[in-house]
Amino acid sequence: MKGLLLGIVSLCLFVSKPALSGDIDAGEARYAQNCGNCHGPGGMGLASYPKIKGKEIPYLIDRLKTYRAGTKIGPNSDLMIMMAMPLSDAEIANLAAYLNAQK
Amino acid sequence: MIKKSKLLSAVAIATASFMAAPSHADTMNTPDISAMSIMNGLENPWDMAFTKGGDMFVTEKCKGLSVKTSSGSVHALAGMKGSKGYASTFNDLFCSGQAGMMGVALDPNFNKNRRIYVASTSDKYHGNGCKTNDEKCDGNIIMRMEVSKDFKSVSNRVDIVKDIQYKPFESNHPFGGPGAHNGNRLRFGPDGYLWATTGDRHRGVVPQSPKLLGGNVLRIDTDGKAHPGNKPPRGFDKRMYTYGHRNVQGIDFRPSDGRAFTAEHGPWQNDEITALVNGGNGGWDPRPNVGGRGDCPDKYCGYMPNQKEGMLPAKRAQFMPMSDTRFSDLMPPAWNNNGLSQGTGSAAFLKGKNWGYWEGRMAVGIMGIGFGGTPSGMRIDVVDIAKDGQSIKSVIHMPTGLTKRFRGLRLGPDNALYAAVDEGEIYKITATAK
Repeated sequence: MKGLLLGIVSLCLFVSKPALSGDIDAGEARYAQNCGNCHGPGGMGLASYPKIKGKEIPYLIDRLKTYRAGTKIGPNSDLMIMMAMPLSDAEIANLAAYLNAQK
Repeated sequence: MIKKSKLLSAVAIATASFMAAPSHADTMNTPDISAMSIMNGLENPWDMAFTKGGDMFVTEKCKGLSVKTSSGSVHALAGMKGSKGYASTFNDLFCSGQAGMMGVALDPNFNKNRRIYVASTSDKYHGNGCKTNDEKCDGNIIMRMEVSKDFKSVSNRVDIVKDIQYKPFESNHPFGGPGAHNGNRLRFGPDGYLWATTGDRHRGVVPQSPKLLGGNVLRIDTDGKAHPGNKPPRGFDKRMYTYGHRNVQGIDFRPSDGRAFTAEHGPWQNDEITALVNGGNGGWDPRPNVGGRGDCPDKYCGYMPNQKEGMLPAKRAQFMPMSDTRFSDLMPPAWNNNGLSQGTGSAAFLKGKNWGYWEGRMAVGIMGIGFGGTPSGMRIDVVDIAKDGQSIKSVIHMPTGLTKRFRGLRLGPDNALYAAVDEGEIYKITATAK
């Protein structure tokens, strides 16, 4: 019985892992839709828009969720709130995974 | 029968040739365009200036001024605060947000006097100002320096304009960080005078102000004094050639008649190309409680009536026009980018037979700003402006094969078009007429 329970827990962890860590390819596709216009190729940062490549995943997720909630955290917040509003949890995870992978 | 068959064949071949010809021949003689990266690894390159011999000066917004000589060597000349490896470092020069070291122009007599002019943000002349966003803040300057004959250093810096307005603090606006809207493109006109663009720096009273330098095109001599022929309204600063602009970052002079044209950023609507008139008004007036508007966030209506989400650009334009027709001295735009704002960053007229029928048209660099449903639109447009400057005849997207944020355009002495892009590169775009 213990073995069966452990197996179920392990399966749940395995199944849920992609949603937690995000899909890099899907993140790249979502990034290309409009993020790159300001943050540049791979999140390199352009003009007055900050570099976001290589940032830690929890940081990126937190920022995007904060913007999505309509909370201001910097001078371009109104722009980011507008961009983050339509994002799903999965899209945020994917974007974070993609940007974290850019070195 | 044989004769008839031969005749039919001949007719068939002739018909095929006739039909095929239009699909293969370019009856417009459109020039062939190719683009090649000639510098990379730069940090926000902003503007270029060329000697007649092909030496290229480059500004990087947060680093400083460098030169790539015609022989290919690169020398770092004048650095900003915190920059390393420059022959000279000026600790009053800094960058913040959109502001920093921006426009550069060479003296028409550069070969003799070695003079170069650079626009930059500086904290040297803040004085008692700049303590809030709602007061005078002299934070953008124009410097004159001399370049050594070996192109390895600069000397004799003189600040010829010290009082162009700067935004010192964050405000409650989109793009609301410090350093917004500086203009700062520099070009010498065919009259031998220096033309400098300035921005409204997110302060409502600036563009229509008679005394604050911001939202203007200045026409000055190489000591910073007003051109004697400038005709701003009575009581205005005589250095102003035009006023009432938002953020002009493109300016050049039409080869056929020498007339100055600007390319200007719109807010969330209406990028504009405008034929300048001496003493004219661009028609931008973002003050609260004028033009039918009420109070606005931080006394600046530039992004109203809705600065938090997308809405029809035409409705924005109705509420907060780029070119307000209530001004009798308004300079109406020749083009408004189909009512969109995508970031017209710079402009250069195309010169030389190599451009084919595009010769004399204006190339406009568009950075691409895709907010509120506006397509990003990173590109260079080729605009055919009507002789009277009041309209355009056509717009063509230049087939560069590049999707970049085109920040600075400049025609080189070889009649190639050089483009600085925010991605850290400079491209040489060549045209070959057929």
